[in-house]
Amino acid sequence: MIRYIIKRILSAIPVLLVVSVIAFLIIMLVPGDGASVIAGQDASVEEVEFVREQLGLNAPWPIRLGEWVTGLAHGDLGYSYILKRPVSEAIIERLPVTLSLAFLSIVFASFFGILIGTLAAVFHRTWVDGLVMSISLIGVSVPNFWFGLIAILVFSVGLGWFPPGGYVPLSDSFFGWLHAMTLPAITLGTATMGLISRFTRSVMLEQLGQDYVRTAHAKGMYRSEVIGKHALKNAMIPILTVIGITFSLTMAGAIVIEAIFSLNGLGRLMLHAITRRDYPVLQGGLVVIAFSFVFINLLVDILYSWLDPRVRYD
Amino acid sequence: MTDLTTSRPAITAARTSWLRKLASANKILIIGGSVLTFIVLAALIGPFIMPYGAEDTSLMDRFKAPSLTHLAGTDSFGRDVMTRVLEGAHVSLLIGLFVVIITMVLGIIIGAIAGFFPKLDNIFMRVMDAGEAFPTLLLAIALAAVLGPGVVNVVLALGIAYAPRTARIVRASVLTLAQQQFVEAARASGASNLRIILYHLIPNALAPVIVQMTFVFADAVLAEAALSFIGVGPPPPSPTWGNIIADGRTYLYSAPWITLFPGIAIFLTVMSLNLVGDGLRDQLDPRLKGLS
Repeated sequence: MIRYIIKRILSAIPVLLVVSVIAFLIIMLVPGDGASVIAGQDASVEEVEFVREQLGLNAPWPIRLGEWVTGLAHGDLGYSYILKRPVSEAIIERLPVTLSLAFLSIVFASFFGILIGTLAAVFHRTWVDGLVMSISLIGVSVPNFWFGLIAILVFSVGLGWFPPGGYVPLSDSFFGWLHAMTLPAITLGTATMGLISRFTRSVMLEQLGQDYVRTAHAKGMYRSEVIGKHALKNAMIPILTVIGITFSLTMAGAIVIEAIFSLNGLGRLMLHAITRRDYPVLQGGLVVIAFSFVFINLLVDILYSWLDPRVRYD
Repeated sequence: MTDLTTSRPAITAARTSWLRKLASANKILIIGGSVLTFIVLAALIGPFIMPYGAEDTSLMDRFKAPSLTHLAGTDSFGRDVMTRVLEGAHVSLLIGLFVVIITMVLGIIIGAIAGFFPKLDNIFMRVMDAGEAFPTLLLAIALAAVLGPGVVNVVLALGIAYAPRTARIVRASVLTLAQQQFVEAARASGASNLRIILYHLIPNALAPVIVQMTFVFADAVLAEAALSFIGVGPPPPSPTWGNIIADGRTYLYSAPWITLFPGIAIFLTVMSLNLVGDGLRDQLDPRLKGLS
């Protein structure tokens, strides 16, 4: 088990390395460089050149890439000259909002996705199945930012059930936090719920057709027990993988959803960085999100090998 | 989902077989296809039928609610929302189409090379792993932000962002196909590597790619709308579904129709594409029925 975990962690290192290089190269595509942004619009050529010299942007790119990667290894994401503070500091400050949103949205999507997906499989080829498949199709097809706006219109403005935006820190009040995050989390989770319910349905259909399910029925087990204790337990392993993969969908979607619900998270930080051409922050945000995706999937893989020992011998 | 594609058994059917299977189309495919055809026709013909221009402003007609003269109402400049939604369909559908083309070309080239040359496989696939670690929408936002706003940049950004997943699918097919006897036979008769890849491997690996492309199309329409909405999409004044919604957002409470109709257009388009994708998959690859 420990051997497997070590092997798996080691195999993530080259991926992280390539991720850092890609993030660096994307910012390399910027026409010109950060120096002219920092020096201001009225700066003379000499002033821009001075700033460039100060920032070390004159160094050839392989050297800057080397510095970027070694910096990352030490947890240094660079310095934002527009925010006048280290990028990592700015990101850490915003992270709780985005993580709350992502976490609640995945909890919502997984709970309802697995629930209705299981129902669809149990009542295969009935109206329940049709209804679930329709809900999941709508979930993956509706543009979430539009859904969010309509949700604000109906549930905040119309019915007054939820605030139209804003964040309440978890440390202030749990229910305030939950109340503020309900609409954003559901909005962000619709597509994920659609994917998870579809996937759960097909995995459960496969499990319910297995011999062990028939045996369990034959020995007189209750139907609910066969489904919950046997079939769903076995189906959970692949479902877990899919939930891990949807994490990336969720983090990207958060950028747009934060803008709609006025949540000051990582997404809004990055959007502001785009409009202000604050490239170190954009680069840092990219790396943090990609790293967290790799990390979550590493966790899922390890969990997977714990749930299903066969995986370790591959 | 990657496990599904790597463990898939070989596709031994001949090149033309997937076309034949399409002929016996299923219900989902027909429903999705009809809705999609309707949307494409509306986008093509609509702007000619509508009595207004997409950028015709009229201060007298600001914020008119939907009525017979303005089917979807008017916006803050008195522009007819329905006309703008139909005009926006051009941008969205064309961007989707070009994204599909770029993704397909990149995905097939990278996937075929990785699957066929084991020495390059490891390097290529680690780069694809890393590419997939960036959420596609995020990668597209970053690329579009860096390249600057514009239709071409949005297409490039999305095309590159979707390539890794497609490359993985092609690679998985090529890996199994390369072990097949017909490849051995081709090599025995003196075919070059390039010829084997172009004439034997790629045509046989195409069916799952085509299914994947309908989903990429659907995703690209959603992503383009999101990019336009947050302001890194094609620049105004040309209407796109995303920027009409962004305009409407300011007047969400007083004139919700500006927001409502382009959203419905996106929803219908993406839904029909998803249905077509499901239908195609059922037809071309019955083993994957119901999976996503």
